[in-house]
Amino acid sequence: MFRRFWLVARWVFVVLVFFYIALVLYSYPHDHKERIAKTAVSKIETQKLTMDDVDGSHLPPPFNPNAIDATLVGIDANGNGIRDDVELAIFAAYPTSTVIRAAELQYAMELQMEFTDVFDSTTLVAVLQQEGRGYLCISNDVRAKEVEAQVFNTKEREEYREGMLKKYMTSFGTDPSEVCDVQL
Amino acid sequence: MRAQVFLVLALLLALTPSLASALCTNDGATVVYVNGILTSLADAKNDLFALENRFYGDGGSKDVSFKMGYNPSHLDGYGDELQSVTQALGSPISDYDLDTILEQIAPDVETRKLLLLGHSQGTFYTNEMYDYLVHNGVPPESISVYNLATPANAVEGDGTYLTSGNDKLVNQVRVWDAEAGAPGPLPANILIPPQPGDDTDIYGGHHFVEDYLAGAAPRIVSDIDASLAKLTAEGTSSDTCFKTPSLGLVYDAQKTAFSLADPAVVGVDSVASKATSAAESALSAVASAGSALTQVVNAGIADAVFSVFPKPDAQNAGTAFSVEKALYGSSLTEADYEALLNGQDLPEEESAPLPSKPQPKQPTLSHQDLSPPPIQPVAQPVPQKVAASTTSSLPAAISISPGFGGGGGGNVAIAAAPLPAVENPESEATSSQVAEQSQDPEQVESSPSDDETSDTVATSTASTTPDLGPEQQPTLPTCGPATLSTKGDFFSSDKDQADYSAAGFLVYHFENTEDGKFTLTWNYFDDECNTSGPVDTHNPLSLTLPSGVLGWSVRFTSMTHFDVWDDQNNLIIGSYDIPAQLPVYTSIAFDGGNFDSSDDVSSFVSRGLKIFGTGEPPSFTNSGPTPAGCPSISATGYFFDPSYENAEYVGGLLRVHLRFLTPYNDGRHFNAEGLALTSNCSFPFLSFGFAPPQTSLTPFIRYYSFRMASSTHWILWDDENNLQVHCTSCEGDIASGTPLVSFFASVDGNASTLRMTPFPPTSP
Repeated sequence: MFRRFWLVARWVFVVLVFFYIALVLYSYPHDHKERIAKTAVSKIETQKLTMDDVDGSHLPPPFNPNAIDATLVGIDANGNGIRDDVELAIFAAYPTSTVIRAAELQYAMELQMEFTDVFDSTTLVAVLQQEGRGYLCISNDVRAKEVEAQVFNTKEREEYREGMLKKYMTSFGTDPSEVCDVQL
Repeated sequence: MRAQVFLVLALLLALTPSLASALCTNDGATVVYVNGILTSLADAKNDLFALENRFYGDGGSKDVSFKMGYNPSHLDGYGDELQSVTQALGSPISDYDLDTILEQIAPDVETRKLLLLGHSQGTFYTNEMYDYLVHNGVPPESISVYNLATPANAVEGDGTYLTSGNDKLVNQVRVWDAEAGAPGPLPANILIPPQPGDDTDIYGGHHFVEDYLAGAAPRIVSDIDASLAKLTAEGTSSDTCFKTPSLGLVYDAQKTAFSLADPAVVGVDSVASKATSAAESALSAVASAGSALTQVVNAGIADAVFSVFPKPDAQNAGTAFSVEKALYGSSLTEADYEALLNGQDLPEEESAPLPSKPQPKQPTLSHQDLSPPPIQPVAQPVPQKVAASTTSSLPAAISISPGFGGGGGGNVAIAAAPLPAVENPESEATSSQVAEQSQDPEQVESSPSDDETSDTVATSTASTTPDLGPEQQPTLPTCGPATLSTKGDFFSSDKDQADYSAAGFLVYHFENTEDGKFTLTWNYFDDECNTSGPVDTHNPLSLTLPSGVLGWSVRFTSMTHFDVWDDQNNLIIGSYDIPAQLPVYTSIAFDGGNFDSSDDVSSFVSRGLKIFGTGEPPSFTNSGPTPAGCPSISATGYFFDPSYENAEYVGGLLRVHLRFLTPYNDGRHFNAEGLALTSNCSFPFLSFGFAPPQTSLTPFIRYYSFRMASSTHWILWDDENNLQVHCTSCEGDIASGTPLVSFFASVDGNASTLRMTPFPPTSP
């Protein structure tokens, strides 16, 4: 009796396991995509401006004007996430105001992520949330637009942005806490 | 065997994705911003950021979070155009965007207290969202609506709104609605001064950041605070704050249709032929995506229908308008669309209430709750049957509307041909709605006439004109004489009636005892009824009333323009452009003269009434006590006002609100400097010597402020227009750790000087 029960139960168990494996395999691509997005979001959220970026000790070398706009991403020789021409322009505009410089550099870094880190709606939302922090850190609509004009300075970059936003557009929320990466 | 089974199970469990769900709590609050149409995501997110910036910058609670409920454009805005029209009538043709917004914001909303904040067409969605949410389990006490620049005729729930009298698009919608017999937008309840560029922008005054936030941020923040303060939330935490709409096959098909059709129609406005071609592509795409589904056809093809029509130019504006009018009055069936698509004329229908949904509610907001209060009629009309002089005409640009956008602008075609003047019963009705607050407007008769034409183009400013006897003179605050006074026998003192148009501007009616020529001049007053200076060096307007005409009126259409009307024939007989942007609290008094009579000279002097009914100077609370041992504000001479100083700390930074004396701020330059003082208030020797004056503020404003933008940087701010002033000496730095800061200014050498009370630059 027990043997017969075990025989049936074993088949039931095997069938359940089979369906479970099938479900996992079916959802794997989606889960895999989610994990990639999660990793990318984590990267977006952890990329912060540092004091070295603000005080000028980490400035990029002079850039080649022809090369800087040759690609959408441009050149970031010092690898701090801010395109070199934008970084140098902000330093030139605000040589004495560390507070304004820090805020604008942060916003420029976050806007640059639209070129480097967005590949779906999840990553777009993450970048937009970071941009919200940068914007609030600047606390000045005119200066925020000033940075946007510097980052999206060519027709190609503007069109890329427009297309990307249209492709992945969605609703999103922002977090008002700790808006400035560098506390001054 | 067992070990193997457990191993397999453990492995499978490890691979299973973890699920986490947000909690809905009673703490904090969420503001959901819904943009207008033709607003790109880039512009919409900047709108949101700017709103947050102003909210938190003005000390808003960090417990309040902001979410974007993105309202995308479809078919290059044409789809939204149709959607807007049907929304205006309370029967939206498609719930696709509404469902999408609700679906998208649901995971982000983690508080029960919810404020839906819409701008432009987004205000239709906030109203619809409120309606959906309260009918799907959200307690009305925990949710509210606050709408800006709303073309809607109501705010759901106990919501409030803010619409500027200078909002050209909303004012245009009033005319369109009046033409279609549709309920018009809520009356204007604020006058936001035009911002740079608004004069040449046909949708000037409507933009979210450039107009509303730039000109009325303190009021908007205050309104948001007030709306949030009224919300209450109870109950235990739950996984979600609201139930999202069930999105079925129809929604998916619509999504597919839009994803195919939207890119195909982008840029159709450039060339008419391109428009037709793109539209055909769009229609083809929509049809292939789901032609079998009636609702897809309704939503998709209906949204595509306008793309068949090129955006109108001067020649076909009338056709476009008739299409709009037909749509206003129709219930939009597939047969209509087919007729349109086949180039057939739609039969024009009389406007009628839509059967599918209840008509939009009349304003539900409490006018008493608004601060400052909304437009109130200056006159106290008594029930009396009169013919309302409500002639208005359409502005020159009539096209298939770009819709109710404005957050970021859009590619819109502008038609330039003037269209015939039309009656505007709606503005009258709206005015009457306000009048209803205080008296019975029954028997007020309007005389709309579609056939009536006028060569003169003006915007809608009409209002009711009940006759008043002298005993009904208004008692509202006036500058100058309390009543109209006359001398001689040409002008009558029996009629002294004033009202405000739906857009909020003064309409002042007069009467003469005989027709003929007279001159009209005027004077301006500030908020304290001081006579303003030489704003304009105008010559008197020379006016002539046609034979037999006695009644005439002055009607403002903005802070910078008024027309003089022959009330009997509803014709404009004179116009004037004020060459300066005066503050919104400015009052005006008219006087006139008749010199034709050989034996004596007749004249009149009117009351001084506000040009914009609710225009008030900015108001601040003085919460910064003078540090012990420091002198209070002092000023000498004619320019700076020593009687006004309000200090406060916002976000921990000092703001000291100051005022000029009237009438001397004509934009002239003066010297200014932020002073870093020691803790014992020791002032340095104060003199600018021969330094050239390099500071100037917006001409004709009185209210400005000295503000710390950071602990070491000061700026000057135009408090009336809520703008930072940019000039050579309009900002500067002080040393870090400075205990006290003051502001010193002088004009014309030392003819007039100001020394502000010293305050700590940051919150003590």
